[in-house]
Amino acid sequence: MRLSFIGTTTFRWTITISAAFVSAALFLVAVIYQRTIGSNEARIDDNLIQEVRTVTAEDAENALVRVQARLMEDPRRVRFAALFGPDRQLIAGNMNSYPSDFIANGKVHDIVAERIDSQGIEVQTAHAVGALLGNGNTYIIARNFDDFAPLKESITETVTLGLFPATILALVCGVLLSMRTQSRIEDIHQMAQRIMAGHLHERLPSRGTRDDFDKLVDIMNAMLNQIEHLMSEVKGVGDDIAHDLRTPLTRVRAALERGRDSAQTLEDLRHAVDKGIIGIDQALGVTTALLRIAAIEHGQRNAGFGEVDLGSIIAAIVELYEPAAEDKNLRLVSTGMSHILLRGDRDLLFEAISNLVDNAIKFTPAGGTVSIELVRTEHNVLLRVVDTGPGIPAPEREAVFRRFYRSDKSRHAAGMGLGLALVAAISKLHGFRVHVADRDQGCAIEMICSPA
Amino acid sequence: MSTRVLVIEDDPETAGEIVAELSSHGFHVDWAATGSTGMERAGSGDYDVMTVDRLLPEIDGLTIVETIRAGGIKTPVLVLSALAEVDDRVRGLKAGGDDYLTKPFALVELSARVDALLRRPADPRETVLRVGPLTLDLIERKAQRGGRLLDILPREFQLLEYLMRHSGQVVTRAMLFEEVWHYRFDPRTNLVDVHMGRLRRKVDAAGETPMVHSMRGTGFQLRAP
Repeated sequence: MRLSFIGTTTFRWTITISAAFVSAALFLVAVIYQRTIGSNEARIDDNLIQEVRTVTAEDAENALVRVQARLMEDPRRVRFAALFGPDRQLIAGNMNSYPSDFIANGKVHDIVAERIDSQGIEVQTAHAVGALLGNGNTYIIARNFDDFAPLKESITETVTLGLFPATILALVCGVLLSMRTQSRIEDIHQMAQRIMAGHLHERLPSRGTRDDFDKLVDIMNAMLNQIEHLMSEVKGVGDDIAHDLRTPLTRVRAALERGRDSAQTLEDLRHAVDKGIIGIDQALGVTTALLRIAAIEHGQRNAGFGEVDLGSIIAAIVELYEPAAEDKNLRLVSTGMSHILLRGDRDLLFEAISNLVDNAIKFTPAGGTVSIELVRTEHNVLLRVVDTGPGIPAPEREAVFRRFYRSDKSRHAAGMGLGLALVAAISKLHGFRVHVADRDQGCAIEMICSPA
Repeated sequence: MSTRVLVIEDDPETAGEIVAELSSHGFHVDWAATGSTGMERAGSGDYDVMTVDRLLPEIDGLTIVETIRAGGIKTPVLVLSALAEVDDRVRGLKAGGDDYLTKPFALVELSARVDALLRRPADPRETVLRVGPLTLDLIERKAQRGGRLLDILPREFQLLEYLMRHSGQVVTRAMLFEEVWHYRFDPRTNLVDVHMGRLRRKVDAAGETPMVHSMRGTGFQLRAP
């Protein structure tokens, strides 16, 4: 039999509880013993001392009567009483001889005495008290406790018959429970090994009993679901990166190959190389943007932080994008507060807001309006970029902030996969929240900024 | 005596391209491949400008810049870095770098920035800038070409001022964005081009010899006709 259950928490708990139970039972027995036998013995000892004191106080000649009186009523043969002369010769009583090592000082002593009466001589143990009388005689009385023996025996029997089986039962239960625990842990362990080996779709076994283990298993399984979801997302992003890099690189390759094989003039060759450089710049742009998002997500918060005026950033963005908007026949306006001070990274905030404006201009058809609104609410500062474009369908409103997410509408617009992911990363770095507001017409992206 | 440039760069191929690009601008270029040789040469003070890679074997690029600055050497430094950390640029400039460029970069961007570092700052008492027929009155905020007054917006005025201070040099979109808008990010779209296009139409009227030139790829140049 394997003894590995000894180390389990369940087994240790069982042992601890058994030990506590045994201690409590022993304590109870001790109390019962004290309250019955113990207190009787003490009371009898007190009586002996009292009796001896009474005799010492009386006339010494009276002691003989006392001895006889004491021995009159003793059907259980447990009483001793004796009067010894100055030479320790028995004058009267039922003690065959003066008990050895006995000191007659009015205190209780354990003695071994030879009892002598009509039934013969018998050696008994007893508690004895004695005193030297005025006439040189010694008065000794004693009490044997053998009549308590049946009670003592029954208490001992109770302990052996009750306590030992109970302890054994507790141990057996402990072992069984521990082995059960052990087997559940072993099941979980084996499944965990499989999951670690790459079978991420597997889940830890539950017995459907809603016990503590099942609850723990449910928690772990929920965690595994989330991990599996994230893993598949990461894999998806990996595929997207590969796609976004391969597309321009394929074009580069084709342009360079064609240039090498069929360029007739230096100008043709330059044209091919230029196309190559454009494609490589696109591929580099993807990696740079990804690295920037990662760096912003994991970067040190405060390096570029300072007090910034959101209003002046917006003014600069409007001024920067105004000609581009005008070329597309769009109105670009800013409304609301013109100065709001916040703590943040000026360049990153500029980049985030300009990304939102850039998108808005890209997706709004000619004749439309793009507006940047900056308002102070009760607790926050709200920055809103609103356009009159096609908007973002409700089911996609969260997904657009993920890396490489492309709605079908924007699939053919260049460089759309990472802009909003960057905005989300910059917002998060600042402790801001960004989301697509619920609108029937057009699109409104809101950034909730905490004021400095 | 020709301008001397020190390039501290550990990757031989990158270094080869940088050296070739800067040499083609008529500079005398020295290459140091490790931090320690770079430190030694930079400490000589014999150079007019240097480019320092951020990550080098032996001695880190920023340590070199800090050390020579502590030694009183004022040679302008362009820090090159492949790090994507958000605050890396701040650290590069704090260490004593004068400009900062993230890898991968276009060679024209590199040489334009080296040119800009070499250009001595104009006399601050100067109140009127002149390039050929073009004059810019910094006090009156007026721009004229020949006798023709240019009707330009404040931002276009700033663009023109920067171009005139760097006339004959290539200035890139990113440089204009940093120096005129004072924001640091890489505009993916051609926003700066749109602003430059408007300025150019105002500076170069129909029939006049063009002064604002688009340089293939990344930049612009203002030249006297």
